[in-house]
Amino acid sequence: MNNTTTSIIIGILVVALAGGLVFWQKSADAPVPAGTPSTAENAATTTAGTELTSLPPASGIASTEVAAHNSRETCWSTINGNVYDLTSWIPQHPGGEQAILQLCGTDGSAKFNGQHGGAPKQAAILIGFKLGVAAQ
Amino acid sequence: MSRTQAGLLVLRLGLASVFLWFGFSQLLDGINWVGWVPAWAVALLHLPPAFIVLGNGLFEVVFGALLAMGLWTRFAALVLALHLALITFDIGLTAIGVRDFGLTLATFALALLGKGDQST
Repeated sequence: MNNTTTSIIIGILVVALAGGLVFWQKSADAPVPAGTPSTAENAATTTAGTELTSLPPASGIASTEVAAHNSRETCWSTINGNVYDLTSWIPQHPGGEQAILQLCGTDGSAKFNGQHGGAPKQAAILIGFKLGVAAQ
Repeated sequence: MSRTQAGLLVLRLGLASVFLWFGFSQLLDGINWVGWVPAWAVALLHLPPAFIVLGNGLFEVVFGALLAMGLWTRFAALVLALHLALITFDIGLTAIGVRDFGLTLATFALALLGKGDQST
């Protein structure tokens, strides 16, 4: 087997591994259908598949509610007065998971602004995860 | 295989893995990448951002595969380096931008060095 053939075989393996890894990650991260909420009148499901205990009240989402979502499984963060469900973004964040995990359940405004403040792309991504406004 | 050839193999496969992962991710999970499409690209191409993500993903998979297989290595690396340089410039001076700057230079280095044998 000459060098070119070996190189191509290794290359195909790398392509298959990379594709398989992304496919596996995507399958593993797929949200589990929440099913019928037990309190259908006031329950909602976020983009990440986590069930809200209630619809965000008109006065805003309480900081205690945000603080309760402080894990990889359900990660909310308050950023510049809005509350975001960042759960599905954890494995997708180009800067690594830890950057998002440290925001879970907290007011992440300072960290977000310090890293991405004024950047339109990051702001556009963030909008997709918005749950509502934070209670004052 | 000399140490130089081994080093180039590691560099080539490592960079190919990066481009392939990002390329496949854009093809399989494009919605998460739409927010990264710059406004100037949408204005220039007159295409929806989701299409641009898919096109970019396909481009990165194809050229990443060329890199992985050692086919037209210098050409593929040069195209990918220019592509990444554009992305790095667009992202600017952030942690992600600085990381991509390093990857851009590594890809340029591969474009200069080639696969490490006479065929490239």
